[in-house]
Amino acid sequence: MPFRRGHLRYFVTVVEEGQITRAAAKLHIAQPALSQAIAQLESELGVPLLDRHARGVTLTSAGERFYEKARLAVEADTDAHQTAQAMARSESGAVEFGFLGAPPGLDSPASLAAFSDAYPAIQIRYRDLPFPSTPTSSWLSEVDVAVCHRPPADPSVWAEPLRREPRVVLARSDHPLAERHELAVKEVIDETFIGFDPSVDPTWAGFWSLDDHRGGPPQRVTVDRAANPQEVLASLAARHAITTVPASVARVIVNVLPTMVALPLGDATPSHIMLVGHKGHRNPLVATVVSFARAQAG
Amino acid sequence: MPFRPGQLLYFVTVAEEGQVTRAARRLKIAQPALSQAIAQLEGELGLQLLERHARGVTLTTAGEIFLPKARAAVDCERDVESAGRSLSRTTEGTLEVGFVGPPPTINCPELFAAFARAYPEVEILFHDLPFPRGRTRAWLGAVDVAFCHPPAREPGIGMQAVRHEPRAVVAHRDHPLAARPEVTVAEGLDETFISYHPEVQATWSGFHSLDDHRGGPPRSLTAHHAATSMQMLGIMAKQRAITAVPACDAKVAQLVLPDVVSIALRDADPAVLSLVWAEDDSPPLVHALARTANDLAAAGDRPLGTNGKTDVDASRPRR
Repeated sequence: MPFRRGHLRYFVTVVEEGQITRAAAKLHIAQPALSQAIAQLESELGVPLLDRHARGVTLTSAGERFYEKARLAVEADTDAHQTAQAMARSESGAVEFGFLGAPPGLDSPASLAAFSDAYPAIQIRYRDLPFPSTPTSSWLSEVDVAVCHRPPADPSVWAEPLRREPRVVLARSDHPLAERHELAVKEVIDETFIGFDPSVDPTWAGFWSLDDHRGGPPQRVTVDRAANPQEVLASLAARHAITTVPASVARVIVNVLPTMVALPLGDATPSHIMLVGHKGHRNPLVATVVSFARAQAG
Repeated sequence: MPFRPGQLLYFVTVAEEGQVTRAARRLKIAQPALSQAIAQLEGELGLQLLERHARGVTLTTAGEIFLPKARAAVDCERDVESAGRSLSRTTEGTLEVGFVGPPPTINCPELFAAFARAYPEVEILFHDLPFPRGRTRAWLGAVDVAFCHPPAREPGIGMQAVRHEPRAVVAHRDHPLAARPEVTVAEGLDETFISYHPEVQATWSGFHSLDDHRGGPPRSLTAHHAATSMQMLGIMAKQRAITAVPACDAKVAQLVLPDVVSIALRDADPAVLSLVWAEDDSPPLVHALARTANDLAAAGDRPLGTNGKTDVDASRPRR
């Protein structure tokens, strides 16, 4: 009794989102079509998998048993597909390179030029990523390698530290703190920080709100639910709130946006910039990128 | 899921067998279809997975890396399917099965034996039903599912064809046709037929009176109406009248009642023994029984349509 194509992934997404409406949006299908697919799956199995409530859905006990297997099947299928895609990219000489916020080339164009000179047959394609969600391997699903501050640990993901970068405060130029040249953590720790989307890994998001210094989340956060760097910039532009970013990112932003200021945060722990990618043989060209980056960081 | 059902299993089997021909045999599909499926997979992935040689196939480097991932996906898929099956199997309870004519355990033992093997915890209670009358939904009444030649189709009524069964004439042994082992429809059309109760669904009484072949009701009908199988047999015992029923029903009647004979109807359209249920009010076990019937039909080479629902339309009178 093979399941209809897509039905397992629909079911797994509905469970993960806890709501048909949100799952339909994530899957880019109409909500009635999704409800119908789930009902069909249930009728094929002969047991209800979900309890429907006014505010969403929860798993029945039969649903719980089935969900574990369904999730593994969807993951294995996706993994096989992504492995094949990465191999196809490597055969055509392409590497999909993910980044967060400031494109890597803007800060250090020379190293990119040096890479293309050294490896003319390898084409790097850049991909703007949202903030990390867990598991990290899923967050990285569409790229071969990415550069970013340390994402959540994942046994199927390798990480290669590149450098440590000081954190700096980013704020609108008319923010009361903007006149200062340097700040200390204790001066900003009670400021209003930018709110992150719940989909973003909370430890990763909390790092930019100085949770590691405070020992917990800020007292005040904006109503925003930023899920990517553009949304953080939009919130910063609209409100009297701050966030922190790695120094290299801040340099790019203040060059592009004169309404923003970057204020060094002398005593904050640094951010850890690293290359991350999938374990196992996927795109063999990644090894070249990593050794090149390692030599550059040198 | 990015892959179509079967796609990865095809690749894994070919990789394991080292030969498309052997893999096709193991998968029970045609060899060209398998070659085409593999080529399509490679095309979609933009990746060559196999090297073709005169004596078989070997994996490319990409194929070797892809194989364990594909195998893991196939294994997980198998796991989730078996989880799905055991999920349905843990369903306990009682299934109330209605029937018309002889009990389904006599007429269709293979279905109920297979269901009992798959769902050992389930208790089935059988209920003798009158001929379908009024609305099918109401006729089903207290039973979860009925096993019979299909009653009138209505929205919200689910049907699963189980088996095609030839029709046979049943008659008293004194009836002139009774000496014949087999008759044609044309030979039976002008006989006196057993009259069905006016409330019995027209499609039902028509089918049993061969209206679908005649294009209208019989010229001659008995004065008494039958509303149940027993009444039908009772009328037959007293009068020289016939009716047409599924051949398996006719055989049982002949075995049980010494005065009744079953006469094969050579060229009549068959009855389509089916499961019938109300979709808005059916417990999951009904779907489990329907699925068992569907699996049985798929396993055997019976002349079943791929979709039982369209086959059931054979019950409509011919125009």
